[in-house]
Amino acid sequence: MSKKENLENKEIDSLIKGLNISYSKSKEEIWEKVNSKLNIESKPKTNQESNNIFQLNWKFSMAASILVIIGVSWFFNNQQNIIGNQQLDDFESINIENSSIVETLFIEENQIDEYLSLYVINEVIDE
Amino acid sequence: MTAEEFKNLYNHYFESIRNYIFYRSGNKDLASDISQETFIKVWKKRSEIKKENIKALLYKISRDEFVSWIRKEKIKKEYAEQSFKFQIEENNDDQNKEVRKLKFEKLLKKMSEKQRVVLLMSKREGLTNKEISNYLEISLKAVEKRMTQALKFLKENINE
Repeated sequence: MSKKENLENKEIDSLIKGLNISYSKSKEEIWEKVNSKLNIESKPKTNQESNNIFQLNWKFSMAASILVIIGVSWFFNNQQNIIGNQQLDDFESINIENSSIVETLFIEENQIDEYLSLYVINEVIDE
Repeated sequence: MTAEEFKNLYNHYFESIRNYIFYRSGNKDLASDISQETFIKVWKKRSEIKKENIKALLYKISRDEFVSWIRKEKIKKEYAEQSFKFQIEENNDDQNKEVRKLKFEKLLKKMSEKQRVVLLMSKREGLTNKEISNYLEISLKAVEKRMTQALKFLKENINE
């Protein structure tokens, strides 16, 4: 490399290094923009915010508990009704022989109680 | 990629990416906008991004962004009137040096974009030819050729 070329290279190097690019927006300003767009650095939660969240959760928990209690009591109540109805159905489903019913027509009124206790109830118990 | 890692990435590479787009376009506002978009894209795709060779990826994203911006007619018009301009440092240089600096600036503007990018990435950013070839996704020979042509062009014209 000649002396002239060396000088030229040095000059080009120094000219390039002397170039200064001044941007209108700094790196930090652009970071703020990027951050506000993407919410990368989320701010730490303050006590107030934490309390709000706790209060919100507390309210939801309460509402959920009440709903569970109402649901459970409704369910059990329904179950009892179903059982009661079932028992009633069972009771009502006992059939009394038609012959016994016909027989009662010929029994005197003052003897009906005795007849029932002696025959009909016994029949029911047998079933 | 965590927020902290992303911030470090931004701090390390933002200026290089912005300068790269400026070397290509000669427009500072466009360079800032594209760099900003590049980092927004990186953050949005952080789950898919591998940490190895991330600098090359940043160059690639910014290059793609630049090309797509250029394709838009509106952007083209908006930026077309702005010129490739460096800020000449103010110091106690003599008038001759000032003139040479202005001339140098004009030559950079006149030079082909490909040559200018390689020259400034090498001389201003301090990147090796291998790094430039990696970031620009061109062969090492292409980098060397562009570099030689750029220096030749400057030497031939700086004293005219």
